[in-house]
Formats: sequence, structure tokens, C-alpha cells
Amino acid sequence: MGSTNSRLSKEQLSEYTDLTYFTVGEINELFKKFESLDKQRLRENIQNRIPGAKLRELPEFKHNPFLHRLCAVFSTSDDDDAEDSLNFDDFLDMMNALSDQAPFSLKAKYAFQIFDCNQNGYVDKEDVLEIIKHITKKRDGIPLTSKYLFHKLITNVMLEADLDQDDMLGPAEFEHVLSKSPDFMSSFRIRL
Amino acid sequence: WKRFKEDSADMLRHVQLWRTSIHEVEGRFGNGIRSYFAFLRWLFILNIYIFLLMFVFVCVPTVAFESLVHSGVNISSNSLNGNNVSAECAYNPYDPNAVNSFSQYVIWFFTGQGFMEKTLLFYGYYSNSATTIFSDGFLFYYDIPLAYLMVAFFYFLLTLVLLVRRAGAGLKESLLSNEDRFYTYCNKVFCGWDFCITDDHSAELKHSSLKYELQTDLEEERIRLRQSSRTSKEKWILYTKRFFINLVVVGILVASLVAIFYAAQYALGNGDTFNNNFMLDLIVTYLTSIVITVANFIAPLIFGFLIIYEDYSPAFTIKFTLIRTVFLRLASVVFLYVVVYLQINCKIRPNCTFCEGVECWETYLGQEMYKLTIMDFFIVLAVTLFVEFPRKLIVENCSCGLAKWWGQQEFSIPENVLDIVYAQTIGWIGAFYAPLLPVIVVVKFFIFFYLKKLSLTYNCRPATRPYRASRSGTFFYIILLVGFVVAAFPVVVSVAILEPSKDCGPFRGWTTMFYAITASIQTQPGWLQSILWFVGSPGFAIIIGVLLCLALYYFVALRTAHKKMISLLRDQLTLEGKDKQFLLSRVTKLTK
Repeated sequence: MGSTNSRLSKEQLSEYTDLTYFTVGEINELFKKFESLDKQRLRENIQNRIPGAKLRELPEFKHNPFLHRLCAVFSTSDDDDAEDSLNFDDFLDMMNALSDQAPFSLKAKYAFQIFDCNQNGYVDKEDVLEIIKHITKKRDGIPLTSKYLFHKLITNVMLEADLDQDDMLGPAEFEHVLSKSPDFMSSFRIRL
Repeated sequence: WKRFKEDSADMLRHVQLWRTSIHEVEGRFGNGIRSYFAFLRWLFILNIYIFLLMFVFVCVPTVAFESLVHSGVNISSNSLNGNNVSAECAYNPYDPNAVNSFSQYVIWFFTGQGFMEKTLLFYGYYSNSATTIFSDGFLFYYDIPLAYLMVAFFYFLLTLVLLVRRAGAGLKESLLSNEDRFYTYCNKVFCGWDFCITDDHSAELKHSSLKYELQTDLEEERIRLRQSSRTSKEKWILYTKRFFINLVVVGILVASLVAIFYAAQYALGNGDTFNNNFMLDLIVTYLTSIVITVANFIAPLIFGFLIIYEDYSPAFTIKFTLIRTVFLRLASVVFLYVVVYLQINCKIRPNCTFCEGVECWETYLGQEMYKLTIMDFFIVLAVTLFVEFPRKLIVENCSCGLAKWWGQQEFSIPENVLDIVYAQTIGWIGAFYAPLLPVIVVVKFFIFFYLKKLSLTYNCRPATRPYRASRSGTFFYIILLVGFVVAAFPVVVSVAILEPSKDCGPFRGWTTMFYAITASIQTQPGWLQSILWFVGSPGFAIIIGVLLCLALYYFVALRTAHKKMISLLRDQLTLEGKDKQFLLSRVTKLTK
């Protein structure tokens, strides 16, 4: 894959290939994708940030119900106004965690942060409720048929996963649950 | 290299037959119906394999050799046994020089008699000769009877292997997921969303299917709870109800079998009585098929109606109705087989040693299977077109009481699965006696797929009671396995024991069909012969049997041990968690 017309310098590219699981070609592809969101801004400065909501224009993220959580987790912005804006480093970080070659522990760590919607350091009942709402939403906004079923579902999830029975899932418990779930590695990834 | 493998697996998945159709169905109607269509597709491909095997190794050589004889290549076909039947006993179902009316041809097309018997479709056409071709010093020897038998053996073996693999894999999964607290909920909630979805439509589908699955799980749990909380008195009433209903079911079964028996007798005895009236003639020959199909049609309706009173969980309801209907259908096919067997052992015509009316019993059996296949196809077609479409029209446009009570059509999985298992069982039995029957089955399934899909999309609404169907998926294959055994057993028995007809087919003149193999073994070198004899002897079978039992025992023991281990470890985990909590609270207390 030729890198002659990439705007990333050779040192940057080698740095990126060292730090991530991607090859030079893949990094260039990712850069092209990122650039396509807001060419103007990136032409000024390569490290400029793009607001998270813009990422929805990419086909991979168009339907992802967890996009705002992804942006919130991977964003390294100090600015309060643009809390979930990503620069290319953040974007690469995110794609790295979601890539095929990322190991289980890395994905589990990020999955925990992503699913912790209220950011209290634990995945508690509120978070589970949020997650269920996200994955079952329809255009008309009606999720599962009744409040009772919601409640039952959350109770069941807690029953299965909460080992020390404190009604919250800590990182260790969460990782344990993920290790027992057969679908995790195949669903928690984005292929280029 | 890994990337290449992944890419090719991805591409293969894309190329898979009917992938888009099945995906659509899954999104709108849920997992259960999807598994039905996946099942249909699997059977379709299986039949293509069977057809190819039969076609390449038996049909093509037969046709090729015949045409080569006329083209002057140095080819000689010799009958493998010298027993030629005398003229008056010869079997001649069709005289090409006689003049027959067009309606007669139509009857023959639908019943497989007359000119149809002289085609590749039926067993009777194939010759019992072995062909040798000399060409530039190169000798090519092809033994048709042996080929016929070996191909039959191979496609049964192939079917068995594929089926066992599928059923086994599914069984393993379903056994695992039967484990209590297997993290099914967590798996669905945390790992349910596939991050790779980029397509609008797929996303919608994924949302709806996740919703269905979660609802199904909860529904099943609710029902399980309700079942376990029944009082003693309620249980007694329920059990008596179930007992009586089962009696009724058995009664229905017996009644249908008796009806089939009488129908078969009548059909055989009165084949030609209505020569002038072509419709009646057709009906008489089709009588057995009609009775079987009618019984198969009415009985499930009754079963479905009765099972509501038995108050099982949705998953078990499906399974149990399936079992009952399977029993009826397969029993009727086996019964037909038995009836035909009784008929071929009837009074012997003097000098000719075979029966009046059934000179070529293999072809007769092939014809019965052919008729059953065609009848089944037309019935399903008719029901779909003339019952389901009008039902939808009536229910939508007329708001009278009848329409409201009848309701909109729901796709009934058990019945439809039974239809195809039944069609496949007939196909398997028939494939031996009518080598081109798999083609007919292939075409039938192809039309079924689109017909059912069309009917589903236009007529049916999504199930009001969502039910778990991943286990049903495995269940279909197990039912199919039962059908396979029911189909294979009579064929094996007939090959090994029954005497082939004297004047038709590739095995004429021998005492049993199996003799084709023994005869060819006798031409092999000595060492190979002794090995093969040993393999066929009872001693070898006993050794294999004992080894298999030992292996089975070993695996069962392993499984029990693992189960115990799992529950021990799980308890340990909970204890550790409690320990941690205790220690944390102590630490906080001490640091205060």
C-alpha cells in the first residue's frame, strides 16, 4: 500500500504502527476516513478535533447505538464544551481497541468504560437499563413491551453477573461475564 | 494468511444461497421461522448432492452406453446372470406400438405407469449388465448393478454423516444453554449488538430480533415459574386431562392406519376397473396417497386443537405436537411399505413365480413414492393458494364475526417442518426405487421456498407468542434423523432380504440385491476377499459394538464429572465475592 500521498509523516506512521495493531496501509485508510469528515479543519492542523456527532456520517458508525459513549470514552479533550470530540490519535485509539487483533483484556477494559453510562465506575442497574434501551430501540421509540419485563430483565442480568451481590458490576465481575459470553469478541469489533 | 481465510469465509457467507431472503425473514418474524427456512435450504442442497451422485454414476453411464452401442465403438454389454425369463412371463408394461389416447398418457404421467416405466425415472428401466469398452488397448469396465448399489449406499452414508454432524453440533449447543444461569441474558445484553452493522436495513433487523429474543426468554421464564407454582389439586386435574387426550390421539393414529390399509388393498385390486372413465381411474390409483395425505392434513389440526388443553410451555407445545404429527406421518409411510410387502407375497402365478399385478415390485414402490410426492406438492400448493390468500382477503375486508374468530394467519412452524421432513423421507425411500426422484424433490423444495416466503410476507403476522426456536432448530434435525432411520431401514431390509423382480431392474435373476456386492467381491484378489469377509462377519460387528459402548460410557462419566466441577467452582466464586466484601468492610472500619 503506497504511502506517498499520505499527509502523515514517516515518523508519525512508524510511531502509530508501533503503538497499534495496524499496518501502514490500514493507518492511511483510517486517516483518509477521518479526514473525509472535515477536510478543512484537518488541513489547518492535523491534531485538530472533530466533534463526536460528526462521526455518525461514517458508515461504520451510522447505526451504532453506543456512538456517544465511544466518543466520550476515547476522547482526550480537556475542553468542557467539546467533551466528546476526537482528534486523530483518539480515533486511532478507538479503532485499535475495536480491531480484530485487539486482545480480550483490552476490549473488556474499554467495554466496561463504554457500558458505564453514568460514569460512576460501576455498571449498575441504571446502566443496564440504558444499554437495553439502546439496543432495542425502534423508530417509534417503543422498547420492550412492559416495565415489568424491563425490571425482570435487569434483575436477571444482575443475578447472572453480580457475584458479590452488591447490585453493581465492578470491572472484575464485568470482565468475568464477558469472558463467559461467546459472542463478545465477534460483536465488539469493527472491520475496515 | 489469516486475513485471507477470514475474507474467504466472509465471501462464502455472502454467496450462500438465499442469504438475503432468510435474513429478511429473521428480522421480521424472528428466529424460529428463520430456522425453518435455513432447514429447507439445507435439505435442498442435500437433495442436489444425492441427485448428482445418482445421476453421474448410474444414469449417465446407462444412457452413454446405450448410445455408444449404436455409434460403433467397441463396446459389449453382458447380462450378469444367465437367467432369462420365458416369453410368457416377461414383464412388459408398455407397448410403444399400441395406440393410446391422450388422456391415457396424462394418467400415465401422473401415476408413473405405462410409458413412464420405460424412462430413467424408475428402477425397472436399468439393465443388469456390465459393460466393457475396448479403445486403443485401454479397457474400461463398468458394472451397473454394483454401481447402483454402491451409489445408494454412499448417499445414505453421506446423508447420515451430514445429518449427525448438524444434529450433534446443535445438540451440544442446546445442552450447554440448558445449563442454569449460563449468562444468556448477559450475553444478549452486553454482546448482542454487532458493531459491524453498517446497513440501514440490517440495523432495523438487528434491533427487532434482539427485542424478540429478550421477550422470548422472559416469556419462557414466566411460564416456567407458573408451572412450578401449581397446586396439587391442579396437577391431578391436569394429568387426567392429559391422559384422556393422549388416548384420543392414539385412537386417531390407529384409525388412520386402518384406513390406509384398506385403501392400499383396494387400489391394488382394482387398478383397471374404470377403464372408460379417466378421472375415476386416476383417483383409484391415487387412492392410497389421497388417504395418507388427508389423514396427515386433518390429524395435526386436531392435535393442535387438543394440545391447548394440556397447558404446556410454548417450547414444549411445539415439540410435542411435532412428535405426534411425526409419528403419524412416518407411521403411515412405513405402513404403506408393509402393505406393499404383503401384497408382493401374494398368490404366485403358475410357472412364473411372481405375483399377479405386481410384476415389478420395486417399480411399483417407486411409483407409490412418486405419487405421494406429487400429491403432497399439489396439496401444499393448493392450501397455500386457496386457503391462505383468501383468508387474508376475507379477514382484511370483511368485519363479520367469522373473520374475527378465524383471525389472521400465523405461520405454524411445526406443521411446515413436518411437511418438509415428510417430503424428504419419501424422497429418501423413493430415491432407491426411482433414481430421478431427487430431482423432483429438488424442484419441489425450490418452489416451496418461494411459495412459503411469499405466503409469509403477505399473509402472516408475526407470532403473538414469541417462542424460543434455536432449540427448535436442532429439534428439526433430530426429527429429520428419525425420518432418515425410518426411510433407510426398509431399504436396507429390502436390499438384504427381499428377492428382486425376475424381469426388471439391475438386479434381476439374483436371489437378493446384495448379491451384486458378493459377486464382485469374489472377483477380487484373495487377501482383499478375506479382509472384506472379516469386516462383514458378526465378530467384527461385536468388537466395534463393544468399543463404542466403552467410548460412550467414558464420555458420560466425563460429563458428570465436569458438571460437578462447574457447580463447585461456581459456589467458590460466590464465596470469594462475599469474602472480598467482608474484608473491604473490615478495612473501612479499621481505617476510620
